[in-house]
Amino acid sequence: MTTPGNAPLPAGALTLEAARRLAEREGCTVTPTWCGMCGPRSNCAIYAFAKEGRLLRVAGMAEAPQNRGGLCCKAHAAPQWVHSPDRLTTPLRRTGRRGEGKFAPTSWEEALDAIACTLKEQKEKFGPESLAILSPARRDYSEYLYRFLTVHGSPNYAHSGICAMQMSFAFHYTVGARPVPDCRNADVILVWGRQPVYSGPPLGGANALADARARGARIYAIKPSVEADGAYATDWIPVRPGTDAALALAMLHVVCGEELIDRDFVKTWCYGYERLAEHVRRFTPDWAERICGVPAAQLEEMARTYAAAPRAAIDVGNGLEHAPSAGDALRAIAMLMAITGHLDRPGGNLLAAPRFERPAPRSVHIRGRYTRDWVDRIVGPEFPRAFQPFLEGTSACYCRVFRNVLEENPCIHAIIAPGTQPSVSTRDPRGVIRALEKVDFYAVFDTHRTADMAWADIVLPALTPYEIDHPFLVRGPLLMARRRAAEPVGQGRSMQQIFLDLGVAMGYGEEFWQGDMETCLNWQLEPLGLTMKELRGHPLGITAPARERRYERYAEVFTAKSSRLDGGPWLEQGKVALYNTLFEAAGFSPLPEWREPAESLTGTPELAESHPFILSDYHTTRCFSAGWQRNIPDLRRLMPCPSLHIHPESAARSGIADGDEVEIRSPHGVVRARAELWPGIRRDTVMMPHGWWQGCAEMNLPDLPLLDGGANVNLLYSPDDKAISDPLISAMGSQTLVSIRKIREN
Amino acid sequence: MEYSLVFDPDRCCGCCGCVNACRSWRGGARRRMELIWLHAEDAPSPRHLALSCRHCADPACLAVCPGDAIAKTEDGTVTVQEENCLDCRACADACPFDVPRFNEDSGVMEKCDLCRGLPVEGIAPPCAATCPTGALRLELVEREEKREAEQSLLTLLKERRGQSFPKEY
Repeated sequence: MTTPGNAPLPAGALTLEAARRLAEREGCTVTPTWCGMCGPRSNCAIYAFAKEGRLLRVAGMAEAPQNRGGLCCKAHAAPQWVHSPDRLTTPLRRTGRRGEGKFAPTSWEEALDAIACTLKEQKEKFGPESLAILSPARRDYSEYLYRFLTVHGSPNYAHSGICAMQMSFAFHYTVGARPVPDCRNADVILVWGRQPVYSGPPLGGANALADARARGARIYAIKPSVEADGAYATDWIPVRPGTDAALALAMLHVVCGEELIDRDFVKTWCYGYERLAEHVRRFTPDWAERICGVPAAQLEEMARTYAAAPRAAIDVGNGLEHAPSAGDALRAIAMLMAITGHLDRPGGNLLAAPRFERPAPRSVHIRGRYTRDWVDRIVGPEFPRAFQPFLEGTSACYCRVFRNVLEENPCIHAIIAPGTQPSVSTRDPRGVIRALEKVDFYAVFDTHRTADMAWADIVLPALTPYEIDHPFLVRGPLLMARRRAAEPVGQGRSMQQIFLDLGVAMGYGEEFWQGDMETCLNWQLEPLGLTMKELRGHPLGITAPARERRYERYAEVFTAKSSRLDGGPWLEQGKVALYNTLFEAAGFSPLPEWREPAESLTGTPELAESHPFILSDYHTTRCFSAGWQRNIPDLRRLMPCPSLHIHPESAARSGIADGDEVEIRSPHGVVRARAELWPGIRRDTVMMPHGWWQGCAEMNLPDLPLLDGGANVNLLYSPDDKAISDPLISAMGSQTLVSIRKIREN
Repeated sequence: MEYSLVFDPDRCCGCCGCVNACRSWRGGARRRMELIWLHAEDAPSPRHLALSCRHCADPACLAVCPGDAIAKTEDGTVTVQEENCLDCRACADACPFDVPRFNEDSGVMEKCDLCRGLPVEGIAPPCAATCPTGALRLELVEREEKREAEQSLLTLLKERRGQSFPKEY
């Protein structure tokens, strides 16, 4: 997130004063609060306008330092999401078979009791670790899930295995922190597997690239398919899906082989350079070209340009976190930053540091209770036990929770899905549904009906962020209360409140503020000397002053303590771990390696004869994050159906025209989509959106099947956990080979 | 000087915030996003064009309207007098940017009016206020400047004619 200091307010965006005048003239109420439409967390501040308790429309808050009045298409569609016919309005109890979708309304008391009874019984019988809570994308209630699990005694927070923590792990264990690109000061920028436009466009990422382009920076877009952000790129490096590690290793080959390194930095601050240089000798640009499909000359030119530029940054994205060698790719990239001297210097990649003068609020997350036994009880750990807990706490890998349920004597007996849809979010949807049929207890807590709600024993209705007055949020310099902008729909409760209430129902009331949200919030705010009531008195929140940025903080960052039980440092030698002795000791490769995706042109050439295209997916599109919100008319108008990006030449060869309905077949399943001719994609690659199942009642668009014949891309990937996952960080691959056939003309 | 929604295709990130801000604040389909590809053959580079009424220097729609429904104010805003609209759709044929849309119920032409009806001074139309990159801005410009901007936008739009992958949101 970029915070442009004390820049003047953007021309014409709404200020509090203008918003109030507008509301008065229109006869409605206005509430300054947080947008709630992003997948991961709320980021942008808004003015929400409502009439008779109904959310009407929103506008970006001009005064908010992070979005400065800017908002994307999702933000403006919020009223249709809040007031959707898909909203869950009352607790439900299953009356039919699992998967049949028959429910009867029940009271909160009965529903919470039913959950608590089951969990208590199972805790007694199978141990507390028999409960797993599935993690949605990081949300404003994620820490409440952790608290509930910790008090209950389960280490099984089931994290996605595809997002953010994968990258953080690789970076922390290589350079001691997750470095952020200083795009505002860089002359060369590698936008690598990242989509800065569709993920939070108002937060500064797109702006920084537009500015960089305008001042003549060289911008490489490293991705199989360029989308809107391609407008800012000077060069497209069309890497095949899942082969970023090969590309990065060959860049290291060029940089080490030609000694395009910062000798002083390498000598003082890197451990194992000689062994790395020797290791990467075999990863030649020609070798990489065969695997990645990037011409060797282009790869060499990029490596030299990056290494030679004094101010060069790498902006790494989620696209890199989905491959069997994702961790290797990320480590190799961190090494590139380090040995070329681009770490923690202006225009390079900056090591994270507290940027604002403000004490941190208390977290509801309880971290002090982890023990060796606790770590041993993790089911299908996301990171090896030797490296648990990682930053967020102990974590199981989401998809492995379902595999465990399918075992003969499973450890997991209850699963709670708070704002996540496993049948469309993780790999092997067939296995997920089998597990949902088998597991002793499944509960869904959500705002709208979900893909796999039909398998739930109990469903609890959650409120959207527009209907609640908590929590307070800190984003960059801004601390601001969330305020209720619309009257709650039905009997829903906030997700935070649901976990407080469940805590009380379980008999854990003392650790859950006896269910009182306000007391809980005030406890969190204590270090700031503030109460919720006082904070609510600041309509625009409280903005903290920025700290002066210091560079080259190597001594401090490279010796920082890790999150592991033993509390040892991230970097054993207090230096960049080019050769990683911690990984070596735990039985993993000390140097970054290359592993083929489960199915690929170069790894399984025999399969490529019948399935000639590489398939991958987009987790974020112009108007959708992951697997939800397809029920919103104003977003659906922008993207009416699941589309398959295919190069015009490849389409023509297959007799496919723009808009034709096509069938996409992998060795593991069959889905359908609408062909969208896309000149900015590799000719050997096709890509489609992730997690599509939901219909839109207002537009008469039906739900699609979760398995064959629908558009659930997860069905196409190999269900073999070992073959698709990175051995160290559990990054699940999103690559396979497919054949494509037209089934209906546009 | 005339009002203009100045648009910079090299800054637009295609997020469609403007499209949905317009839908939410005004309803209808007064605004859309077009995607064009430059150098589609060898070095594909996308450009998003956030399109609505350009309030042209010399509006083609005004020239052909038989019912005196279209007018241009002194500050450069091209307006529609709904009660005079005959639903003849001559304006739609004449507009080089394919902007006029017709209300499904009334048949009356609808298009951007620069939100001059918003009752608060000093705020930009929601489409411009929401733009995260400043690609879309309400400004007072010289008439000649407006004419040049129209031409360069038309040149970009022509790029995609004849390509097999037109896109509109």
